[in-house]
Amino acid sequence: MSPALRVRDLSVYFGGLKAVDGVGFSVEPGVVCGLIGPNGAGKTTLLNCLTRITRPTSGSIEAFGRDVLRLPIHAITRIGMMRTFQNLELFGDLTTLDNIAMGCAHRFRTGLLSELLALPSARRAREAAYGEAEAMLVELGLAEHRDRRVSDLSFGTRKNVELARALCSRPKLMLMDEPAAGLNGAESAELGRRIRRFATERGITVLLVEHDMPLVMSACDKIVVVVQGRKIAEGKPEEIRRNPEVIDAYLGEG
Amino acid sequence: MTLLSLVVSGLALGSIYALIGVSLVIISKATDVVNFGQGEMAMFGAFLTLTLLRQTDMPLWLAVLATLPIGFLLGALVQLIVVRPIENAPALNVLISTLGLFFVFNSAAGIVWGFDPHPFPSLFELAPITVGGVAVTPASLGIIAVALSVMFALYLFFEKTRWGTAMRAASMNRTAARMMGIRVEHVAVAAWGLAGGLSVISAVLIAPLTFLDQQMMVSIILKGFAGAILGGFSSLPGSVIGCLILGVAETLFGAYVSTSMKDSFAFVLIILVLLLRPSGVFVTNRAKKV
Amino acid sequence: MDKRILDIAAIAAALVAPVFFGPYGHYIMCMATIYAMVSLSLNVLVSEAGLISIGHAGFWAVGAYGSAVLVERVGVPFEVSVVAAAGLAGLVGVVVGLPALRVRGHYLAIATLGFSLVLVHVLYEWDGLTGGRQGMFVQRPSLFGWSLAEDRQAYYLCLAIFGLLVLLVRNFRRSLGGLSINALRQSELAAQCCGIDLAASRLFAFAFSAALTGASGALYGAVLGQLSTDSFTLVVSLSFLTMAVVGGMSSVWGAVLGGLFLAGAPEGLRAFEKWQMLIYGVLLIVFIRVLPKGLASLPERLAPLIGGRR
Repeated sequence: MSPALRVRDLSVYFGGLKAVDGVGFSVEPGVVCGLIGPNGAGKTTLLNCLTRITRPTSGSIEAFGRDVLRLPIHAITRIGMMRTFQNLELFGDLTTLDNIAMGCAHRFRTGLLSELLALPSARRAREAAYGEAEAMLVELGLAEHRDRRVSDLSFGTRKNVELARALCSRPKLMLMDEPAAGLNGAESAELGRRIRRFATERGITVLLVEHDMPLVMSACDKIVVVVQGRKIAEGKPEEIRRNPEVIDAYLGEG
Repeated sequence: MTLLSLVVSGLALGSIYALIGVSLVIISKATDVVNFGQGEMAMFGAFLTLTLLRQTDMPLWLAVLATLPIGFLLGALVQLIVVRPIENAPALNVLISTLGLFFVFNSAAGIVWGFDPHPFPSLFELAPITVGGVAVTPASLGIIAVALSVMFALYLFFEKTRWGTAMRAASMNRTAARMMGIRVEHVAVAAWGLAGGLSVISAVLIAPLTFLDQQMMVSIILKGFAGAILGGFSSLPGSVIGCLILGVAETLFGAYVSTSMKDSFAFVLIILVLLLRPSGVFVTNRAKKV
Repeated sequence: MDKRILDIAAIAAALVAPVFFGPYGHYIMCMATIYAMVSLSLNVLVSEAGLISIGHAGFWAVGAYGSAVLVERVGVPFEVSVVAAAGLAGLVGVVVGLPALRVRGHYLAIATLGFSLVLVHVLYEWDGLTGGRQGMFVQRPSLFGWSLAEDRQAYYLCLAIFGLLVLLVRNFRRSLGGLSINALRQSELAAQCCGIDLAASRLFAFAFSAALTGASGALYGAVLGQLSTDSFTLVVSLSFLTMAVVGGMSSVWGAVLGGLFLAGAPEGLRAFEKWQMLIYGVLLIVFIRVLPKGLASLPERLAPLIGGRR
């Protein structure tokens, strides 16, 4: 069986600057993999390559055996990849429910013509999509915010909405960019338990980019460490914790 | 006409476009608006200049110099009265307001000065002379010279003076500029004023050739806009070069291919550029950071 | 008040209105309805998709000439020609929408503006098809072979077609496709990550908007009875945008009020003779300041005032 994600020798140069430099790793299905490193290590750039926002200078990316770099940006969700954003990317003027429904809209869309004519197939598609969105709304405890404009919600709630939207696409591989940023200790611990449940109950593979060490150590099965664009270590949390190079890199920063 | 003399008159035309194009860019950078009324404001300013000439015994060169403060005043007033109160409105609303400006200045000029064309005295000789075997009109050379000097002065202003630096800073990041103590509101007024001055110069330069009338700037502002887009719209030197290229290309096309299709040619060129190099001919694409 | 009651009242008023006016009034009402279709199409493009067009007079021309040529030269029934004109304008919309894949804002404004100038120029030069400088005559609108000789009859046809277009737009707004295009306007990145094809969505928004305007153009030519390229200048494109903003961008009500404004304003200002453009300009500037969300937002703006008096 092919791994959920395999990155080989990936490099991204911005002008002369090497943001990512020959990074390679793979993540087996159902595994929660942490991607850590000091600020400016190239983590978000790497994530942007995985979701086709940034074009890598060289290297290859495979997800479930498919060559990601040959897919347009909107097609990556069709092979089961979905991401959340560090600074949130929500549809501010839409309601919570609409935002979540956008997560699964692509799975139900009929043709544009049938939508214009409001044919039964288009109506059923809409009902099905909103049905799933409603269920997700309840599951993540967002029911009270159902009809509110997303831009009026608190930061924490909006993070939750983005997570609900991502889950609604029924991802097989979820890429999370600093989901714990802005959360307090208790919220962060709850997030960690949630991420574990994604893996065990839904079989979702997770790539978690995060600064919050307690969260990463408790939630991840494996960790990849990137410093200045290069991978310096990869292994189980306890191995990483003892790795002298990693300790150096982090001590050097702080 | 030989190729070279066509190029010279094309550059003169392009210089006129450039003055308007640069005014549009300055306003757009400072206040995020494309002012569709800019050409009409220029025309109105040229009428004011003409009145000044007729009412006083002022020499022509002095009147032409006077266009700068006239235009500045016009632009600054418009900013304060019309644009300032709606600066936080959606872009389209502001655009519609500038259309309102178009109608106001266009018809006000007609009401005050009549709807017939007025002759406008020229600083430069209009009859062609021969320079090194090439027939050129002194007017063309004069227009190019004036426009180039104005552009050079503009460059010095933006690069070397405190005010110019403040305006550049404000156009890059308004919040940061505000925190650095720059009065962003003043910058907006100055930008509209500066643009007003530049465009009245362009109207005064072209008026001797086309006669001064109500409709004279309508196609020129479109070309100025188009030329500025050709050069990337965000960069002043790029916009100037874009306008010059447009002027020359259009003149050559008119002479060698078809006069009546000249305007269409200009816009086909723009559309092609937008399809192939959306950020303009001179701006290199840089990786966008997310 | 229940919104539905208001809608029904408006429909009833639109149906009864011709009784109170003479032939010239009927003509103005036709025009208001025809303009309202354009306003509706701009609502889709600007308010839903977040794109701009200063070239809608071009799509209008495609619809008008397309229908006229089909009826006059090919002998196609008028009602079929309206559909064909809409389709043709939609196709042209796809082509014009191509720059929208790469540029937005000012750049898109100039691209659409350039397109309409070039297109109208081509129509002007194409004597054989359009009559060029002289223009061309267009047959009255007809329905199942019956010519609608009076504008009162044509008005009801315009109204019916407007109703159909409103249904299409309403369906669009309520569909997953409409939701997707709306989402794309707010965050390109997130929408694409949600599986929305940016190119296809933008092109569709352009095509749909252009098709609505094309249908309007077909009716315009037939009601006017003649066509010349003077009807499709830049000023017309700009006044379309003006009408859409003045009416209000986000509702059918706004489109209707915008149409009434564009058809009615010249009539109301005619008495002012050479002052009319000046007054129009001042009105625009004041209007944008006082009522930025358009006439359609008047009730919600007035509500607190009325409430305060009670």
